[in-house]
Amino acid sequence: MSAEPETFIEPLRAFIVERHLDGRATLPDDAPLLDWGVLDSLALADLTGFIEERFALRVPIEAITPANFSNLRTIAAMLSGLDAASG
Amino acid sequence: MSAVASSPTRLRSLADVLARGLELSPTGPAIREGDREIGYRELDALVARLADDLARLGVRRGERVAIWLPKSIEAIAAMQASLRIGAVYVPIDPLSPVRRVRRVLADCRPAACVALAAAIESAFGDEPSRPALLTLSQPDGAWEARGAFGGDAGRAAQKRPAPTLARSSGGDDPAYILYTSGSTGAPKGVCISHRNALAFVEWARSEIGPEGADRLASHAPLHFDLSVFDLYAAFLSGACVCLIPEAISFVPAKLVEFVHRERVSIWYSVPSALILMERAGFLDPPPASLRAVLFAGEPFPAGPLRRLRRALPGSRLINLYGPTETNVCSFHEVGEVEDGDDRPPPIGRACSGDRIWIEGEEGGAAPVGARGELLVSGPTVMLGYWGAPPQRGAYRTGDMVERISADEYRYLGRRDAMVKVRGHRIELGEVEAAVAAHPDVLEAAAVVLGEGLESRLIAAAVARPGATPRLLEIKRWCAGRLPRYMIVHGLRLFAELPRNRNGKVDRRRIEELLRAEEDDDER
Repeated sequence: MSAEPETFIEPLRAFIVERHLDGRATLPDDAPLLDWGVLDSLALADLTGFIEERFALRVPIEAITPANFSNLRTIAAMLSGLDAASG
Repeated sequence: MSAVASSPTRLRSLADVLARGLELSPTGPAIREGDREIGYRELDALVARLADDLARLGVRRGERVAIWLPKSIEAIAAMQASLRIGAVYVPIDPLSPVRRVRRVLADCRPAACVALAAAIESAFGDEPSRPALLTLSQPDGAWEARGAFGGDAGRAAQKRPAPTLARSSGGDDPAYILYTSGSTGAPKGVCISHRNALAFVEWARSEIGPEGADRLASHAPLHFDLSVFDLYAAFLSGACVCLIPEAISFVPAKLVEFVHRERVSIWYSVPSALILMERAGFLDPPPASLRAVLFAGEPFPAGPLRRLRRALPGSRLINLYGPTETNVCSFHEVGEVEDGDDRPPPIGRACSGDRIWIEGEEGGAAPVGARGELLVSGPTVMLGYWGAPPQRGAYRTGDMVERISADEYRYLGRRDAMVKVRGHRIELGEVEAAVAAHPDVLEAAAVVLGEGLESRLIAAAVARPGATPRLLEIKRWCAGRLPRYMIVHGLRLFAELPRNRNGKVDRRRIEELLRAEEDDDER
């Protein structure tokens, strides 16, 4: 059984807003996180660490692409896929 | 060792570097990119094809070729193709917004642009003023050449037989242009000649001595001058360069995995990346393949450097120094890092055939302990900024240094408003101009809080009455105007910005206020 993408979105949003947006922001699902500099290269490392710990998933090098980390939905979709694969 | 012993003739053109690699390792790997690998022979053939395409598009000797591609085999091949026809390549930061890319293109006026088909449409559409295009479509990897005017004229140009390839340029002709942050808000193009680049590359070859079996990691992006070592030191030795995808360049666990998986033997990056990797288990145990670790771009704090030194007793650790304008002009080989010595390593002594000295003390007259601005002259000093008068005489680095021995120096800090954030050079004025242009902002200053890895770029802004700009909105705004590494990490609103006696915004006072605020938060 793999988790639905929706189950990942809220924890990801809460983490990103708390850590990288001063704890106060309305962050839409489709806000371009890399393009707007919400996630810079260091924040990406921070987020990958959070994901691996919080969801007990391993994110392979190949999965760390601009397309996968484009916005909350794409990250959640990738995690759902990884979850299914590790399933 | 035979290649070293035969003491090859001096190179005249940067294009000759790949040719040397082909001679040394015709069947060896030249570039690895993820699970793709290209050998020297195949790379040479790809370069020949792209050189032919560029020549057919009408690119002539001395003209610019913008290379707007992700870090890839294709991007490097396009750079080499440009050199092969005597043109000047301009690597474009793939993470820069279209508005800034267009600014760079307007400044260097390329005869052709090599780009992803999808990206180029977003930037130019069918605009008549665009350069000729050599586009790569993904994922099928097909190349298409289109003339500057598109339509029939462009197609006619393609049908023309390829002109005889221009004799490649060399010596004092420009080879490439690297764009960096400019203090007035506009990016500046640092123009590097063949002679400039070769002076460094040949020094690096003799000092570091890569061999055909070596694997060099390419951590820096191609528009960043650290990448000059990765590519050309590898090619000059017939070694293999392993490209690190930009997305993982600061994801430490993945970098550590990369070093092991690719069996990297020579690593070069900003210290920030190495410090992060240490925290992610890089040294427990250290990779057996690693024989040299080079770093540049910012001071390496003593603690992490000491751990690296002790974990890799048999590897060379070398601090390289030099702004983009001079490439690497000094180096320091790290020996034992004593307990209790908490200073970053010195920038060391001159290299690449250059001379370095403290302003006003030409001729080595400065006593040990003297401090002042570091000046550089010699074969690596740039031709000048693109479009500006040529560089004459010594280059003033803007870096304050201390003389610590007869021929060695230590970096102290900057004398102006240029800052480094994880090795990226940023003019605060450029960030301030972008933030202040936001409709909800009346005035803005930019400062850096924290040091080294913890550095954060903060905008201090005065809001328009009735408006409350938020960080997410300011980031979105900056993202349309600045490269990614210049997007602010934080935003603090002020009723008014502190000023000094001359009425100028007092960045130092802002830093103090923000630091005090953070200390309060931690209490």
